[in-house]
Amino acid sequence: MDLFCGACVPLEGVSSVNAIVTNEPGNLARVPELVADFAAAHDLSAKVVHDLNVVLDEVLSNIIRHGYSDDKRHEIELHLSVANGVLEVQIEDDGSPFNPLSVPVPNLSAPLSERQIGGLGIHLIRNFMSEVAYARVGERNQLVLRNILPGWEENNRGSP
Amino acid sequence: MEVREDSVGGVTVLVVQGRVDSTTALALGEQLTGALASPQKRLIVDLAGVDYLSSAGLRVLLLAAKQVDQIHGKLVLHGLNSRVQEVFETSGFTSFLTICANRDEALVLAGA
Repeated sequence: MDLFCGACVPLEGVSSVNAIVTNEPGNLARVPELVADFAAAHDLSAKVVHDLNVVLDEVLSNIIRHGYSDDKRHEIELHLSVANGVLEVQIEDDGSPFNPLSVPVPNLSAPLSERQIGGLGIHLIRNFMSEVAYARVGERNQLVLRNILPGWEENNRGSP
Repeated sequence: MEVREDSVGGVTVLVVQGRVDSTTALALGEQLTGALASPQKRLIVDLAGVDYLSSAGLRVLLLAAKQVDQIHGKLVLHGLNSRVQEVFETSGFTSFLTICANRDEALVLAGA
């Protein structure tokens, strides 16, 4: 199995998992299981899990489908963490430069005949995540997504 | 992800089970196109067995909706769970798709 998963290491309220997703057929299909394990370890709600799956499916499938101009195996680094009530997702790939934030917002009130396919996935990412940040660093795309977890403050009020 | 095709009162019904995501949406898209090629032109998509639908699923449904519009057919969806419903609402799909609660309503709306 090419999906390598590092151990979840609890450390002062921060815990994270690292994984590699490749562009080989079938590899992407393993991500929901990774998410389910991570979610169980952090008691994430069904909605947070669902939205995370939607976001990851969009980002990863875009990279795999559009990011590479050769037939070689490529690795995408995935890092999930929860700290202080914030879920953070980092996705780093060596594909061609692509900034999801540069995709225009789809026209959601256009009549059916004018509705475009493009931009829907990015629109969902922007809606489901509190924060989206992109950087091109050297030959790599780096995407950081943050989601403020609901109810964390109530559950942790008074904690040190 | 599995799709079963039935015919009820002259309306084609596609019953979808499982996840609709980037790895499975293509197969759903092919079934939708195939179902709309029939002379019936009326299609119900039962999503009650779908626990998860991503933008890849939205894309194939948008294409199906456009196709239905062009052939002056009818497309009705039912059985969306709250999270799938939210994906549709966030994407503005509820403004052009006919979505209802259950099969009986869907059959009426599809003109069975």
